[in-house]
Amino acid sequence: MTDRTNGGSPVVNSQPYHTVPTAVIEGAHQRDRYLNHSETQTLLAFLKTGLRRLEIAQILAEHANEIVAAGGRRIFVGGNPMAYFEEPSAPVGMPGSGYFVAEDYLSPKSKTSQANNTLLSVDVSTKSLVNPLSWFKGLFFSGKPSVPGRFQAINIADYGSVRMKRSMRDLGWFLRYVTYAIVAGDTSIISVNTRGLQGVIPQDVTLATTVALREMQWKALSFFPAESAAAALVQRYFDVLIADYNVEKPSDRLRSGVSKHHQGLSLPQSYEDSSGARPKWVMKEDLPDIEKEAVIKAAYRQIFERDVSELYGDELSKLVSQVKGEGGSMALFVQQLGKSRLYRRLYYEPYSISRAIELACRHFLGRGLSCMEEFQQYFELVSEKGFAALIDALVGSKEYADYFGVETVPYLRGLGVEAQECRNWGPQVELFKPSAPVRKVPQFVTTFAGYQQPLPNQHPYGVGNDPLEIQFGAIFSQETKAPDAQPAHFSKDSRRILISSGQKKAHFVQRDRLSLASQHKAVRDKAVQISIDSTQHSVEAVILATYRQLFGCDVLASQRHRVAETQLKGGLSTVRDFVKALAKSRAFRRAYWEGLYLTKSTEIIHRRLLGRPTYSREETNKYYDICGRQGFYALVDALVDSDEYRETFGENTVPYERYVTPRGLAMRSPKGPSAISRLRDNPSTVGDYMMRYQAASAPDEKQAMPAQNGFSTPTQHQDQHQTADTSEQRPVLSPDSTLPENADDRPEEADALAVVSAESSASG
Amino acid sequence: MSVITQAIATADREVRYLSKGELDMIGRFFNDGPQRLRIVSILNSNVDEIVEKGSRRFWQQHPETPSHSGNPRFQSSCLRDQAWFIRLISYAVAVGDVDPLESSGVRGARQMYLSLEVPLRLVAQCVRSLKDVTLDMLSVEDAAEVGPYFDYLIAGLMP
Repeated sequence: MTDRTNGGSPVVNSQPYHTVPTAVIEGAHQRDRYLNHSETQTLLAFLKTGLRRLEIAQILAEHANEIVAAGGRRIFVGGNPMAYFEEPSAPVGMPGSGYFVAEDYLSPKSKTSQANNTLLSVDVSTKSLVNPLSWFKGLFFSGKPSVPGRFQAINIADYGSVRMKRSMRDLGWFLRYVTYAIVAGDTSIISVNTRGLQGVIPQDVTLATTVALREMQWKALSFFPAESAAAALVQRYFDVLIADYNVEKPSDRLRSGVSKHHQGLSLPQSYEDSSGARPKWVMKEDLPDIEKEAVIKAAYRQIFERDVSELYGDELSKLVSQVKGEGGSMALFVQQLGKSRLYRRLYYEPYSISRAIELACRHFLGRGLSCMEEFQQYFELVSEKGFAALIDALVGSKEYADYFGVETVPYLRGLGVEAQECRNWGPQVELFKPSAPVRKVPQFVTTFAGYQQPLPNQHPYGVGNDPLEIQFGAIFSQETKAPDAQPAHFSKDSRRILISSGQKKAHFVQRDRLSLASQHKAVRDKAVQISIDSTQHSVEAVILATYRQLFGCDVLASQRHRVAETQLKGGLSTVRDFVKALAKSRAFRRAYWEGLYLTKSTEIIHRRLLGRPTYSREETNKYYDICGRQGFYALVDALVDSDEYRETFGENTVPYERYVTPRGLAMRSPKGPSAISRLRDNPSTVGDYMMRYQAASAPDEKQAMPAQNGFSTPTQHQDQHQTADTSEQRPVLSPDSTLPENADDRPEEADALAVVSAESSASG
Repeated sequence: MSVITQAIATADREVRYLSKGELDMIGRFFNDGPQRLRIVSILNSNVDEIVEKGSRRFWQQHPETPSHSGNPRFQSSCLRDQAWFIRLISYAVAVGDVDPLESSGVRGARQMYLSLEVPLRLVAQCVRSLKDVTLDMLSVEDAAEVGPYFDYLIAGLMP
């Protein structure tokens, strides 16, 4: 059972490419029948040629280096391209395990493999020199591919070793996919992996790649007897590869949003191309009768989810004869099926209206409900004009006309056919399963309703439903204890409440520091150790504190960044530079960038470097943009060079945690995340809060974020509490609330929230 | 996911060519192919008989089951599901992998029966009688090939 509260995220395994058996089975499964004669013959033919295909693949794999070398030498001059080629069989790390091209080519391992490659290629070339006559013959008489006139060989020295490495790697990949496709007996694997590559590979080498591929084809063919079936096969697969490579990147498939508040989606067309063997059923007048029969059955399967012709054929015979006859239209047929007594009995009467609408969406539009507005519109239709009006609206909609027209039978527009929405992901995946009709409870509506919830539910010290909170390394954790607290939709308008973590404000720190500096106890005294500052503390302490802040713990000796440490000690760099250097170090990148997905990565790095969680979608979107366009190092630069960092920590202070989310605060309570909001466990807090909340319920009150770095002793607490009460501050999540750091400019607005947080963290 | 898809996916993930072992495995798959397809065609042509005999045997063992209560709707849906299971088995035999069974057979059917409150014990029992009937019909070699797929399905449906 999936979690109803957040719509769930069921795992789907897409089929990225096809082999002959899977394609055949998929086709039969779609039509709901056994393998027929022709399909069995296809399979048999495939099996018979199978062993031969395996041999071909093996021969190609054995000669892979020579083939790639031939391609490389054709397009590169001024060096040995094979020196840049890495053995494809060498174990290469998974994504996230720390392998990436830009750094690896200096490591000793790759140096030795380069040396090996050089040896190998020397070997090859001497072999071809042994018999110069045959080499000559090979050049002039065996149909070496001609080269387009505008092609110019690329100079290795100009091209650069990194790009060189990539090019050679790509050539190896192309060959590898050809061998896969030969084994699979289906070219879809080539199409999926090469179509659209043209847009990715730089313009200036596109032509060169084609030339190299031609050369590789020629070289590969030389390992097979001319005119043989094997050679023809290899020739064909390379032809497909080159043709697919030269195809312009197909334009994306667009899906328009259902209302103007919801953006449309786009899906690369190659996705749809590769989904392959799904037949679309089209009713045409001139089809033979038996095919019309098949199309009608397909319509039954779509509308009734099974073939009803045997059981209920009589009821529908009139409609069937209409659609088969002169001028019959499939859209009309589908519409009348929907209005038939049978459909009512199967999919309207047993369900609540909400669920019936969801199912009708699947049957007539091939998708789930997209948003609340759409649902409300349909619900109004059904309640005012009845179910038949809903069918009319669905079949008569522009969307139906766009996708299915008058002739096509509706089909499910699931994963692989179309871009899928995130909003209704879980329910939609469930809706497309054959077991969907047994669910009587509406799924989409409940999910959408959950999204309407504002982000911090009810009050800032509650369990919270913050979807981005980090809990023991996991974002989007599953709430098992109190399933009511569903994670909310983090939309573009969402703002998080950030609570001061009880650290002192900068000017307090200054004053304390002055008084404490004379006692030389600053580092040891926990109570006042707020921030570590290179002007007040020893360099060692600063270094230690920086590691602790950035990595969350003391690091191993091997993870330390000695160069940066030395620079800091020598006074060549400031603490800010040191932080930046550490954040760009291999260890930090490994820990917080590789292997994590973007949202989580930015969230963690943001907390480490700026000392607060991200505040809103605007902020995270900005970081997505930086990460997407410029990558990790630019993200670090953006954070450490930001005005906020400079103002808060300056050049000499080590970053420290300034704010936490309500959820983060609650999690630090020794009684568990939900304890803090329970009256029984924490009467004072809850009482305070409730009082203030009631007092502050004046609707005209729009106040800035309550986050405030006010430091208060227990005696100050009372006063500030008073201030807060009279100024009627409360957590208002209005779009115009300012960022928390702006609140620093108004020290007189010391807020009770900060006080309470300081108090509770002290008591905890 | 057939043997071939599996091998390619693994090799692709490790960025290498298909290894000798994988090629041998696919080669074996190709060699067994004609036998598999023969079994598939036997299943296809005898499905009615299998379902009829299987259901009779099942009802003998469990006369109390809903599909034997005389309600024509229960009975027809029971027969339909049996034919469907045989079809899934035939797909699995053709591909040489349990994946067709896994995705729609075990996971989908299990969920559906659970929500329809059909006792899974009886469904499993029903598939077992189908298995007995089918294996009786096939030669010893063929039976050895088909048996495991039935076992997998039964194991997956067991409550």
